[in-house]
Amino acid sequence: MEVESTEAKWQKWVREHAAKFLLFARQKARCEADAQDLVQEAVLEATQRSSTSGPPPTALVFATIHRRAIDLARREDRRTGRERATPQAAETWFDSTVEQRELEQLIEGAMKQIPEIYREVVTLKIWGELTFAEIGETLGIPQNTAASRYRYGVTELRKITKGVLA
Amino acid sequence: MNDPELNVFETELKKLRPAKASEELITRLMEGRQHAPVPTPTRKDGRAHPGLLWKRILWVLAPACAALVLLGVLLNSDRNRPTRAERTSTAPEPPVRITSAPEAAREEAEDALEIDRYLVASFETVAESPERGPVRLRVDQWLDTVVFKDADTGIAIERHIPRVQVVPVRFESY
Repeated sequence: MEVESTEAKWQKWVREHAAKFLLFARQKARCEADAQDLVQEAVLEATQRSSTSGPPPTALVFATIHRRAIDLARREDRRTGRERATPQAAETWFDSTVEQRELEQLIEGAMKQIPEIYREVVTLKIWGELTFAEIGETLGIPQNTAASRYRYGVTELRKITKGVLA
Repeated sequence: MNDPELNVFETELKKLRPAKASEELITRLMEGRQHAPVPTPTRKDGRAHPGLLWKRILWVLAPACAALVLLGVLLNSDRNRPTRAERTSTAPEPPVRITSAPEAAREEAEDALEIDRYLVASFETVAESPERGPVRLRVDQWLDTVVFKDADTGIAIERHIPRVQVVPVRFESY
């Protein structure tokens, strides 16, 4: 019974957080396959490094994705058989209904326009639901820097969307 | 942009949910977790659990003790073996000793095999373990010379085998 509850807890945690990890990884990776590999490797590494037997802290997973993405970008681009065999899935960043699709495309487009240092902080704060302290730990920057970048990033997003949202 | 406007904008952004991960990725994450090694228990201060530390000490001591026992057996058998002068002497051979087959085979194998171990270098170093912090290691470089002589054919086979032995040493940190 205890093993089942652990498994059920894990599955719940994966389903709850995988989308957030994937959103962050998609912004870092050059293709969908790399993004999924980043998430898988980061979850595995964070699990191994975590001192608890349950799921690892989400901030640790984000930090691992961030670090591994940097390593990946430095390595030679390598195309895997999986990427050749299967067509690239549409890399939409957000789930959206028909009504929201236009809004989703607007926000995604705006996110891609702002500098990466702002984009990653905005992603971790709004959709990663991390605190500024955790964001600082994840990205290796001071907490105040994380807060400043977040404010700059959201301001830029609002400018780009030109008040469509608010 | 003032804070109330910022809050409204944030609220609108949060209405967007990240795209769900595919079932294939979910399955990969679950399977990967099942194949991950069980995290080693650690205390809140990050040091290894005492039970785990004893296990590690035993893990090092057990092969070391086995190696010492083997060395003792080899040295003992070497001491009991007749010297070359004795073997090549023209003195009348002692009466044949009747032994059991396994014992005879073991003695014959021991006579044919010579192993010399030379310690080439020995030093200590400190390695950085991502989980445990600094780990002190003693590194011994050995050169094993193994000579096998076949008394019947007179063929001698000699091999020089370099060997590195790394032993973790308890690290005292202050």
